Amino acid sequence: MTATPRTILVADDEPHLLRLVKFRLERDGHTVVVASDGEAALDRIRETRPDLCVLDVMMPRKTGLDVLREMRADESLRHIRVIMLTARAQDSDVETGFGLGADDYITKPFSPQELRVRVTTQLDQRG
Amino acid sequence: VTAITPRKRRAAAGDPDIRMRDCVAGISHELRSPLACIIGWTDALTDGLIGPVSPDQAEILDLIGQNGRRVVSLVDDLVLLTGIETGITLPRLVDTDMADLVTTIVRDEIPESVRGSRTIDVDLPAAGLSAIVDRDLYTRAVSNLLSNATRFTPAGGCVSIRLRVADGLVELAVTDTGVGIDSPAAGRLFERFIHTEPVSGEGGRGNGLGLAICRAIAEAHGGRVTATSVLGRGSCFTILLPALADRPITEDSS
Repeated sequence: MTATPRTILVADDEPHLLRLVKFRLERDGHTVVVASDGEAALDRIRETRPDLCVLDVMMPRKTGLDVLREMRADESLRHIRVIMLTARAQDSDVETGFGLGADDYITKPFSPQELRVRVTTQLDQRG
Repeated sequence: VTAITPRKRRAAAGDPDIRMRDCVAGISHELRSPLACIIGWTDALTDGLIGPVSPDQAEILDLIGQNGRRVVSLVDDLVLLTGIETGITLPRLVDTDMADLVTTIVRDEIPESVRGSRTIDVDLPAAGLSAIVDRDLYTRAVSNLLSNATRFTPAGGCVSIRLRVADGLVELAVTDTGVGIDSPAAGRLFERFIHTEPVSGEGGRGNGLGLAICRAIAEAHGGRVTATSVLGRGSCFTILLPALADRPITEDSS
């Protein structure tokens, strides 16, 4: 299952992981915009208006949760779907993320199938 | 009811258990991104997405992937074990039909592919036997025993699972006709990182935490574990939990 090509912002402070997610999403035909910290992520989101954001939780300057909070408080960004990328499964980050309006989360490490399915699901729901 | 829970009181006092748990959680967190890279790029190579892969290279890539996943399972288990042992992760106790639960666990943990030519013998009480357990944790404890039993029992052997009430305790016994354990190792089986030799070529090596997790889970339920073994003949492991009346006092684990 692959979605119609869309623009996806991926933010992670680990460059090798960022490259991996970008590689996988680009293979599915999406346009990928990257950022390596939360502030840069917000700048890029405002510039490019992506269809979906994949945000690492633990990032310098602003965390993924900070970015999500600002997006949900901003009328023009509120509609953008967000998947949190988290290093911990049984963890309060996930609950906090959903509380702030995250649409889904992916735990590291993730399989390529899981990434594709979760991304596609969010893009399809966005319509 | 809002009260100062033991956990909050301990956190306030800078409890070493809390520090230990946080330390393990921190290590786990730091390992996950590099592991995600190792496994993710290995998968990409294996799938031929970076270029053609020879059969020899594919075999080595498979080894890298397997070992990466092994570290992930070790990290997960260490986090789980530390949480339970320190009492920070508390069981979420639910009144449970134990025969139902054990049936499900056996079905999920010993599929046809794992069973092979071994006989699996399940002996459950006819009437409804309930206990108050954390279903996920109990499942984990039992599946660790089942995985060991199948791993250490050669083809043609037998693994039997028996559930009963004995002396007011809910006893689950997993008996195998496997390789058995010699006595010096037997006394330390439930400690971390104690390995015994599996049947060669089958199932591979565990991560050394399975039985420690099993014991921690039993104790968190107010129960205990036992092991008996005869080298060359087989082993029997049991999980003993208090029956309904003796439920341990608990607090919400959030």
